[in-house]
This record gives sequence, C-alpha cells and structure tokens, in this order.
Amino acid sequence: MIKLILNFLYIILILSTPIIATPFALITDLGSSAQTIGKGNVEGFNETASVIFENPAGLYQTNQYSWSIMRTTVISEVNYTSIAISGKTPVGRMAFGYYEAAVTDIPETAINNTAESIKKEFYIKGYFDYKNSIYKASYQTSFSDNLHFGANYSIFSHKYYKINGKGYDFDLGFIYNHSLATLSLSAQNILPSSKVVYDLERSNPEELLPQYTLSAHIPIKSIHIYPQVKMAYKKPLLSIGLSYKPSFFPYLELLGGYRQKLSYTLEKRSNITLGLTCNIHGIRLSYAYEPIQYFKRNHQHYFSIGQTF
Amino acid sequence: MKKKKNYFIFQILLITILSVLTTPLFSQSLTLNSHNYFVQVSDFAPMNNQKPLNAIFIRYKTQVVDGVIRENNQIKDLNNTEFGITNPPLFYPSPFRLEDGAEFGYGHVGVADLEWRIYDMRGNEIFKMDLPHTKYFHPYVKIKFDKTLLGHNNLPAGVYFYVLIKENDLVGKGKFAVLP
Repeated sequence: MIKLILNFLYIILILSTPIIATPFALITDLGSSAQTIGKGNVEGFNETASVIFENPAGLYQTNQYSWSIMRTTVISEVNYTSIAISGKTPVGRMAFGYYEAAVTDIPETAINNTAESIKKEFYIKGYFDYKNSIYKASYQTSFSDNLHFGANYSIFSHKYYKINGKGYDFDLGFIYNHSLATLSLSAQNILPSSKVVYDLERSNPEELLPQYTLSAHIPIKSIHIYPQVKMAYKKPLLSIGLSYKPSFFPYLELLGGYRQKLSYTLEKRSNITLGLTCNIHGIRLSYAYEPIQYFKRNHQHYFSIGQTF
Repeated sequence: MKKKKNYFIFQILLITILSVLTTPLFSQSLTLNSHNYFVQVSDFAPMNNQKPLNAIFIRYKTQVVDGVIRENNQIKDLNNTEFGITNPPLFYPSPFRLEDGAEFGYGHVGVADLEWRIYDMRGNEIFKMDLPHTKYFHPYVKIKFDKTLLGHNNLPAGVYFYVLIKENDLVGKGKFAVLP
C-alpha cells in the first residue's frame, strides 16, 4: 500500500503540467451521494452501491445487494440523477451505475436580418435539450480481509443540439484496512489519451483526464475524520470530512466537511458542506447542503436514498 | 409685360443657383453620440458629399438623439424612463464554439448599471462583467463574447447559464450551449 501511495504522489508530480486541449467536464465531480457530499465529498467510504462512482473497491462495504439513488437540481436548471445497484456473486461483487445531467429548453438563436428590423436583434428560433450520461460497470474482489480491489468500465455519452459524443475509459481502486485507519486510493480514467469524440463537423475531441484520489477514514470514538487529496485536471484539491454518530441515537449521523472543487474554467473553489444521514433498517436516507455562488439562489440541496442488505 | 416675365425667370434662376451653391453650408455634418451608435445626418445635397455614409439607423417621423426621443412633436427624455428589458438577453449564435465567439445582446429602455454573470453546470461563477450605461439610451446592446473576453482558451462543451443583475435584482437570465 505504501508503494502504491508513493507511486500516486509520483504520478501527481509528473502530471502537474498545464492543460492544452479542452478537457471533458466530468459530471460525477458534483458528487455521487448526499452522504459523500456532506462529508466534503471525500470518496471511497460510501456504504451503498453509489461508491462505484468514487472508488469501485469500496463495494466491499456493501453486503449481498445494494442500491442507491441520488437526485438534485442545480440552479433550478440542471437535473442530476445517479442510480447504482450492486450484488455479490461467487466470483466477486458486480455493480452497474448510471449518472446523468440533463437540461431542457436551451434556446437556438438567430438574428433578425429583415429590412423591417432596425436593431438586428437576436431571437429564439427553437429549443433543444441536453443530456450528459456516464454508464459504469464494476467488478470488485478482496485480496484479503484488509486489501480490496475494484475496477470500472465507463462509457461516456454527450448528446445535445445535433451533436453526439462518445468515449470510454477505465477506473481502478484499492482500499486498505488498517487498525488505525482505512486508506482509499482510486484512479479514474486511466487510459492514456482517451477522449470523448464528437460526430459534428469541425468538432474537437475532448480529453478524458485522469483523476487520482487518496483518502482516509480515521475513527476516533464516535467521531470519524476523512482527509482527502485529489488530483483532478492536473490540479491538487484538498478535502476534509467529519461525521459524528451520537451514542444515544445511533440511527443518525451528522456530517460536515470542507471541499475544494474546480469550475468548468478549472478555477479552484472551496465550500463547506453539511449533511445528515438517517439509517433505519438498512435504508439510508441522506441529505447534504452546500452553498453555491449562483445569484440569489446560493443554496444547493442534495438528497439520496440507498440500501444495503 | 415681356420684361416682367424675363425678370421673373431671372429671379427663379438666381434662387436656384444660390440654393445649389449654399446647401453645403446648411447641411449638418455627421453627428455621433458618445457610444458611436446613433447617427443623425441631414444632407440636402448628397450628390456633393464625398464622405462615405453607412446608414445604421433610419427612422421616419422620429429622431433619437442622445437619449431624447422626438416623436409627433412630443419630446421624451429616455434617460428618465424606468429601466426595463425590451428584448430578452440572448447569445447569438447558440450553440457556438468558443474559438468562433458569439455575441450577447439585449434590448432595454431607461438607464441602469448592470452586472453580467455566467455560471457553469455545477453552479460555479465562471465570468463576471460590469455593463455600465452612461446617460445615453441604447435600443439594443451587443457585446462580443470570445476567448479574450472570457479570459480562458478552453471551455468544455456543455450548457452555461447567465444572469443580468441591476442593483441586486435579477432583470434577465438565460442559457446557452458551447460546442466542442
């Protein structure tokens, strides 16, 4: 594991070069479950099937079967949905996940060039919809009681207007359980120079850049600390999460965190996150809150539900 | 009688010659306001004018000069009109490629200092610009939007959202798509 961590840090160093081509914006960067987002989006320690969007090795935490759904709407316009299911087989755990971001009624515009128009104003001549989807098929196995491995095959689909983009890639992940802490190491989009390729004339392919995430879970009595360093789009991002399970009400888990994330222009932003998870008979209901910058609607709410049985 | 008739013809000829010779003195030069947007020109002898003239705004019976509209002998100062959006803010073309650029346009009456903000699909603000308006009236504002204005060479393909804000109030919003 130590060797893996050293290799991870080495990869971070050699990849710290500026991006020239346009990167494909991964919609999963938003977060795959309210439980994860509430903890500063520290990845790998989600106990439902949606962990395949973070670190496929984390599926070892699910029992025989698991499912998870997350839904949120960003700035009242972008509908994010994630669905994941997993099941245990004699050869390991298998899982499937679907993550979607959709926007409707985007105007297609034209200019009024008629002789009557003195202003040559723009007008809406029609509308189109937008859909960005990621499909993941996952396999997880455990090498020992302490070392777990998982791999994902990811398909990317990007459809809007008259354009259709497609790409594919692989993810790898490891989780190591130590008596003091659990370590999670994941590498997303590991294929070198993989791209999302578009079918519209003059369109440039977008790069699927690798993301490397190293995170830990350190339990101290009823408080759990989750530090994380992530290398995304060749920029280091730090996160820390906290969770507290009150001994007098073990069904409840209070979440808090700090997360750094990137905008589409690859500028670093940081936020605090808060959340709540209620676990009743294996059904996990989670809520997370995060402030965003959008004008006058600067509150973002996430809801997810999942079950492991 | 014949002498009187000749005198009349002479008078007509004299007036015609004087009119032709003196019209350049009465014709106004090209008048531009500070935005270089409105042009008012009265040229009684366009044949004599050597300057090229591109008509960008023509209106009959109505003149708009520096925020004052004159129509049917009624004078209205548009600078004192309450601000309002007359044409919704739109990008043209949409969708577009960042390397090709686009134009952002909206129509309004009245005067206000506006703020223009653009957000990505995660709700992050990626662009902010003040749109200060002087005392002059614009019927339709167009702003070139490209890599230079954005300050970034790359913008991932997707949908982006924009708002126009006046004194902390939302006066316009919309969305546009960027092609890869």
